[in-house]
Amino acid sequence: MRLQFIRLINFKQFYKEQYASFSTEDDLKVTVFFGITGTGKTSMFTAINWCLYGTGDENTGELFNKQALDEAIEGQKCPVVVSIGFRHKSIEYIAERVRYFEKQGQEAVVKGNEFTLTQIDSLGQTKLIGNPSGKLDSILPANVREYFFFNGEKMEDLTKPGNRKIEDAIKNIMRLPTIDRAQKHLQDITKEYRSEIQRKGSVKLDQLIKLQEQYENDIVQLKQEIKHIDTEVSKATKQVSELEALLEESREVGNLQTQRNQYNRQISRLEMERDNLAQSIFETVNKVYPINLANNAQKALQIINSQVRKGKIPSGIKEDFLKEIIRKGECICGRSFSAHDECYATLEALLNQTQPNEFEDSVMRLRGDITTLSRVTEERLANLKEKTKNYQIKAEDIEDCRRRVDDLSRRIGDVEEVNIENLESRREQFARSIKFSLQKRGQNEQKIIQLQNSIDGVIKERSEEEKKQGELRKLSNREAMARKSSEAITTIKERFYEETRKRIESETKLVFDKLAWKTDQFNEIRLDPEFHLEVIDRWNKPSREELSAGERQILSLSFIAAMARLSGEEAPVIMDTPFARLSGIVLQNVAEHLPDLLPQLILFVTDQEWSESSRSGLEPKVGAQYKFEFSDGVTTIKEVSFA
Amino acid sequence: MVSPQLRRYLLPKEKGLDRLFVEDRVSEVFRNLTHTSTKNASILTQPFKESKDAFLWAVSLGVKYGTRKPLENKREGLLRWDYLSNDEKQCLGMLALAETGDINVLKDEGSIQEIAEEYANQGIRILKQKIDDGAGDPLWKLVNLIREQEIT
Repeated sequence: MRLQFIRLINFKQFYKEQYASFSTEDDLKVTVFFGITGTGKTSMFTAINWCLYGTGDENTGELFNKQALDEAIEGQKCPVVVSIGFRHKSIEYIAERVRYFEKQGQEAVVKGNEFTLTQIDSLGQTKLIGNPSGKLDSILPANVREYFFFNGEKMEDLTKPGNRKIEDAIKNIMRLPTIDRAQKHLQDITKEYRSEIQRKGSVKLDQLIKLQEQYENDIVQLKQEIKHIDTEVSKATKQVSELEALLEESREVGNLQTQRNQYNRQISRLEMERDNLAQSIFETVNKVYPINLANNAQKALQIINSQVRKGKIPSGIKEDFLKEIIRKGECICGRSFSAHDECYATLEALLNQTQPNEFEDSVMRLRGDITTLSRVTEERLANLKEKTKNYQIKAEDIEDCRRRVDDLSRRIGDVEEVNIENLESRREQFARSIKFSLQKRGQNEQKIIQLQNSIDGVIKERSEEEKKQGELRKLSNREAMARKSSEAITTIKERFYEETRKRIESETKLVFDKLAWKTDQFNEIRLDPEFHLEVIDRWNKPSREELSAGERQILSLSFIAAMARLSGEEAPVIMDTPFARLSGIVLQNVAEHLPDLLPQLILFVTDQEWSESSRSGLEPKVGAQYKFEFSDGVTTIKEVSFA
Repeated sequence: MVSPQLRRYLLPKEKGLDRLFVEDRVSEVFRNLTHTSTKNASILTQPFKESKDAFLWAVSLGVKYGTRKPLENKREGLLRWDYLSNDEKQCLGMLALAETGDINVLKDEGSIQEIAEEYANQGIRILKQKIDDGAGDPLWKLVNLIREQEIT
């Protein structure tokens, strides 16, 4: 969706008809509206929200322009109109919302509303969309809109500690609720079919279904526990890194803690390398099965070679050649022959001895492949040997680092200083709790596997039982189909959530690096499994709570830009008062880079925000700029030409 | 219903079945060792990437210990024949050629499949025995098995 224009008629302080077109070009994607406080920036922002979604007018006073109301005749029905033209997937639309008022004394009384969405084709033919709100929702869903159209001053709230909006934003923008709904729907269908089977089936079948459901519920329970464990581990990890940061700052053990951090980082790196090696060993192991087939390969090769030596393969005379002579009934010397001739019988006998060309080719290919196979397997075995050796070296290195970490921990623990003892003992406590939590997680995962195997067993038994009652077969198949689809969608959902989380994490960091100025101060941006956004500083310490309001705004902006980029929605980002909390180099960075990150940018800025810093970065990308001029109680939109 | 064995017999020789079969009683072993057939799989405990890899390894071990074990009647399709790559099919063809000594066996997909299935039927039992023997993850046991074979 890219906005093309807006038309307002008697909307709030915009008297009579006013019009502004938005810039939609790729290299000039910014439209700026500026004016001093109270001239109509927020009203215009409200007009966009009101027109497209019917919202935003709740707390902003009367919609009907006061001058127009004053001029209206008593009892006269007057409209307030906002029309927005936009293009979506190469189709042009005009959305128009009208509210009718009737003048009653000095009051404007609402007399009705209208909302239309018109599709216009290149020939100028129009089509009124039947369900305009539904259509608009499919273009840019209402629950997603607030992340594209937003007030800059409130934007920093998004990343304030404790705010759950991040999770909602991710879920809505990435359309995750759709997957949730599909999952729930399939689960309901499965239940319905099961109930029907239970009603119609035998007592044993009923018991088996109950058992299966019990196992399934146990799995759900265990998965919830795992989720809870993950949150606990994430919290404890945060605590550990905070305590380690304090230990590192201390005079007494700062040096030891730095070393411990270094070894721990080395362990993480080595573990990653070891896991990569294990993956590679796994891949190779799967390819070296021919190791036991060497004798057979030799034997097969001898057989083929013997056929070749005897001239049977490739045969001296080609099958096609003989067929052609027989078809023509004419020898290569020019002599004709018929089906009863001796010559014909000879040719037929020869034909029987030949092999089809395709077969001959495949045998000759096999001969080459056998040689290649033996060589490739040898190479793979050598490679496997090397990797296994490296794997063992890594494992030993990890063990060595662990011993050093233990030694450093012991030395830190031995320092007789109350504060250090206290910090170290708390650190150990959290580290221990992480280990136990992870152990519990592993046990739960194992239990899930066992339960899943038990479910498979029950399903097998069920299938035997259902076979006895023919009429249940169809139901059972349908139930199985619904259950499998539900399981598949659950797997997809889990993977998609995880993938989405990681993509948002890296994209937010990418944008944050472009917009922020203390980039070396912040190491990482993390979204934990519970979708809590965290900024990790250069000391590997969570620091969201320490961010200034301006930095939080940058973080929010980065997050929103990342979401806009990843969502696949081509939607304009409309920001009211975007730069209020930004200044200096940050403002310059935002002005310079933000347009490149978004498909269309519409800004409502105060004259103060529209300063040298923001103008210098933005102006090369501005395709249209307007000034709000306020006089005699009404605002006029004036296009401003570029100096 | 016609059994796979009978179907194999009824079909023209050069055309095999669309699946490779294993005995019912060992199908679980194949699945439990295969990464893609197991939920929450780990490369350490499910050392085979796909069913075909477990099958090919079972064939290989069957060959190593030199025995073919015909499949009993209760059997199930483990994987589609066409899931095998050309190289893998060639490898099984090579095995059938060495086994029969007849070059024409290469035209007979049914026989190639049958020979492979019978070796796999014995091989999977050996594999299970090796993997169940002593402590350790199946992947490392398989690596050790490869090492032993390299030496012998």
